[in-house]
Amino acid sequence: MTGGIPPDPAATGGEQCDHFIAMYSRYYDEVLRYAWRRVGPDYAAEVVSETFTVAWRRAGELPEHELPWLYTVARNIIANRRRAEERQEHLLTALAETVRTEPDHADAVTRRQAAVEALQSLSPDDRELVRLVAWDGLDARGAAAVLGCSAAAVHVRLHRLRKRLSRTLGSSIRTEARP
Amino acid sequence: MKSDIAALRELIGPHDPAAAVHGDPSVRRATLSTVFAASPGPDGTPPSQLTAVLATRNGPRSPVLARRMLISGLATAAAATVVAVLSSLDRAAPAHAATPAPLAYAGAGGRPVREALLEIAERAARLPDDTGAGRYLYTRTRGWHLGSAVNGRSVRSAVVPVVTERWTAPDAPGRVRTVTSSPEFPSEESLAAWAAEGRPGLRPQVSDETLDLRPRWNPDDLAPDPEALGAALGWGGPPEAGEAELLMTIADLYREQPVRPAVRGAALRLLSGLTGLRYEGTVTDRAGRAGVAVSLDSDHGGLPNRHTLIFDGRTGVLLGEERTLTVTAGELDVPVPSVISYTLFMDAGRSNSPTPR
Repeated sequence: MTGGIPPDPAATGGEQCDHFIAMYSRYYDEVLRYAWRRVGPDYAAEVVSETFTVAWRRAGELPEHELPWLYTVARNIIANRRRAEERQEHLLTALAETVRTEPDHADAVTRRQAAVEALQSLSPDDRELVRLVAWDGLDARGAAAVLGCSAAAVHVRLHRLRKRLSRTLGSSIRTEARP
Repeated sequence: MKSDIAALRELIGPHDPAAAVHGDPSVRRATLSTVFAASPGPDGTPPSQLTAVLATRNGPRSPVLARRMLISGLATAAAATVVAVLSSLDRAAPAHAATPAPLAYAGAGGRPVREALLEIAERAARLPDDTGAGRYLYTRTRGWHLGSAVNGRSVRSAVVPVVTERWTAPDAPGRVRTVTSSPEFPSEESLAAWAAEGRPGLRPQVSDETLDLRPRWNPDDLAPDPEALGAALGWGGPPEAGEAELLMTIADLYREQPVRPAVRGAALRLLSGLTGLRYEGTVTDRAGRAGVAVSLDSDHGGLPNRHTLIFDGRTGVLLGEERTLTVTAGELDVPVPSVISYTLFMDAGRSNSPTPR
């Protein structure tokens, strides 16, 4: 995350507010989905509210690439909550709920189950990286910003994860799909 | 060759549990209001300048109106809302004015209003006095009316409620402290218009005035007998202004002072005698409290409107007052029906000093 809006001593709170509202409108759903994927529907709205509260407080120093920054804030909020409440990651519950609400389609359920298990088998950091690029819409640079590592390191990890998940999911799906 | 990210999206993407998740627009707007309320704004910006909103800003008014304005915390009181709005709105301003969503009343079921009020009155009259002791009569309300001023300017784009605390004593100067709440946005248009209007009310505006303000009614003069209470309140039957005047007087009483349970009961009995009053059923008010609502249609204030009072069914305490335009908006740029004012009675009691409870 480089660049950013240079702090302008003469800038009024009004300009910052307009900028903040534009960002809020643009990324509200993205942050909501980010939180939903990690804490499930019950707590997603709270995470969103806390995330944008932090963003509003820091409206004068928002970076150029705002979405990865918002994800980072949300990620920290979720991590703090987990530490405070000793709650397990909600990923599997969120996925399971989605499965339940879908039509009873055996093949889709099987694939979903395979994806859940494949993600579960990853380390927390790898799982987060896969979600950031596959679901949260970030590229390698954005994911690197959220994870606090270099883009080069992310590229290496992505390549490894691609091979691993292709192997796992490819074989799993092929096996299950066979009559 | 496909990139690693594209391959992972193909493998995992279809299983996104939140792919179809979209924020509800009303939740989105409410969250924005919460965000603004949680923090005064960007770190490092200077604190907002505290600005007094003076009652005299809009020129001379009738003594009763001036009195009501003082009592209601330097905002226009319900009695004069419609008239005052007509005189204070900037008619050249674009877009509909923002108004809060109407409350949902349920279970009226044709129940006679008299029966409903007398039941609460009996319950209230049996309760012990809970108003406390002390020289000052203290109340805290949260209210809004169409055309509410923030920093001296009428705000139409968002709903900016004002929290008002009042201390009055028969033998000492009074104090009125008001703080604007964070803006609420009833629609997307409201949010956009608010930004265009210069974001009024983004930061709390505080007014704190010591005023030569005595209680309009001495609590000792307020009797638990309906007829005697009516006389003390200056209510001897419908005046020229009609039955709506009694609803306003009772709301004014609660705006000014804590009301003993026995007097609450008498006030409910007085109300139950109005011929135009209607039982609206139960309701959850804007503060999330359960209440019982009654209303009266009239054109008191200039335009046909519904005046609703919400009481706590267990204690007889007045929880809220609402005014809703019912037939025409006249020159007011709002749809019909629209809520044009409300007051939530949040706290009341006696205290020994004019300082926050």
